[in-house]
Amino acid sequence: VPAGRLLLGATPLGQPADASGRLAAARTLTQLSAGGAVTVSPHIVPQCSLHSVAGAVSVALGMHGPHLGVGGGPDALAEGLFAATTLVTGGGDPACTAAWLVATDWDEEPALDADGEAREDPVCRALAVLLEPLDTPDDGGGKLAPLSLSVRTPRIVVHGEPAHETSGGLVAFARAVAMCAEGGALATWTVTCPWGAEIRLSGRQRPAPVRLREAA
Amino acid sequence: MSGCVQRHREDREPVVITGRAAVSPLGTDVGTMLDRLFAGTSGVRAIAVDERARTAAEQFAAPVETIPTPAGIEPDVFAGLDRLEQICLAPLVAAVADAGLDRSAGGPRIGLVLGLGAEQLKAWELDYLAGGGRVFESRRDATLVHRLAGQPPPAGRAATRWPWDGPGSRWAGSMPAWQEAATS
Repeated sequence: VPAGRLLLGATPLGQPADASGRLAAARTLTQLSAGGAVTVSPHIVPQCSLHSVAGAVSVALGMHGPHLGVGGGPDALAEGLFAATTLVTGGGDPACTAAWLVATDWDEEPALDADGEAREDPVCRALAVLLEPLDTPDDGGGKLAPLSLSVRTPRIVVHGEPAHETSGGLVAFARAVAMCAEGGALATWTVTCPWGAEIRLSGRQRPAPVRLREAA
Repeated sequence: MSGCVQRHREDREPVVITGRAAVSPLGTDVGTMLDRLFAGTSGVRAIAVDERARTAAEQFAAPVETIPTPAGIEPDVFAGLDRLEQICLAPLVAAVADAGLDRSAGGPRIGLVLGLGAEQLKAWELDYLAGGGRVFESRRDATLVHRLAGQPPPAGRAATRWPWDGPGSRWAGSMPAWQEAATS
């Protein structure tokens, strides 16, 4: 993507705020009770809130578009996918021609001790996906993208209970991206928003190799 | 890793503001708040240390004194919500009423985007200071949007939330990067 056109929609999904934020919040609260207000870092709000990872990514990469932190809860992946597709297809800045979706998730939600330290060694995963709009909905606009995302909204919406699974969402999505891109047996993968919309990931013609980079 | 999303709309539709509401230290309706704002009134005042402050240093604040109960919600039900839910729900319901949207006849589907970056941090803090330990628990709490968004009420109880029937999500932006974008 040309640098001059690059607009960022970095959407750190919930768990950066809930997880790294929760670890930091637990440590801060225990320190506050033991040592008073002088022990509280001024970075707790700017660095551990929902927006902080998106802001850090956009500044670090020198991006020039809107950036948002989205989610913060059990349905963060679906919310982030929906928000990212909205950024590049539905509204906002017409010059926003691409969006990075940065999703993070814990394998298992960390359990903390009384000092706010994680009892075990939690693993946090991250996945970055670059999204660009197709020129037309039907013919693919001439692009031969390995993957496509589409959103199908329900006619009747009934808000359900939020998802309560504690792991697997991001891992499943990453595997689906790889498998769809490779053109294997898995051609589609879907995730449902709590308000009923279905976000579908589909493999497209001429699959391109996809490299996954995983950090723990 | 890259992919494409299907573009459904070529023409960008205009967005207009049709309903307004406010719950603020300067007032709990838009007119009062704007009048006081343009008159230079400040919502910040000295407060009693034992009123809201947790430390002696917190002697000044911009408190919201009362949060009005939204139309259509029973006062005792509203009183049972936590304060963050109240301060979001009250202006949301009022803004929809101000827009003249008739929900009784079905009406248009309404979504909700809540701009709130530190919801959990505040919830954990208040819980901890009240003697709780939610911040240490290995679980993910539903966000405020989902708590507000029409979840099924317990059996035998009326719905306690206003039923949004469109997309709902919590978004937060970062000022430093907006500044970076504006000055680049």
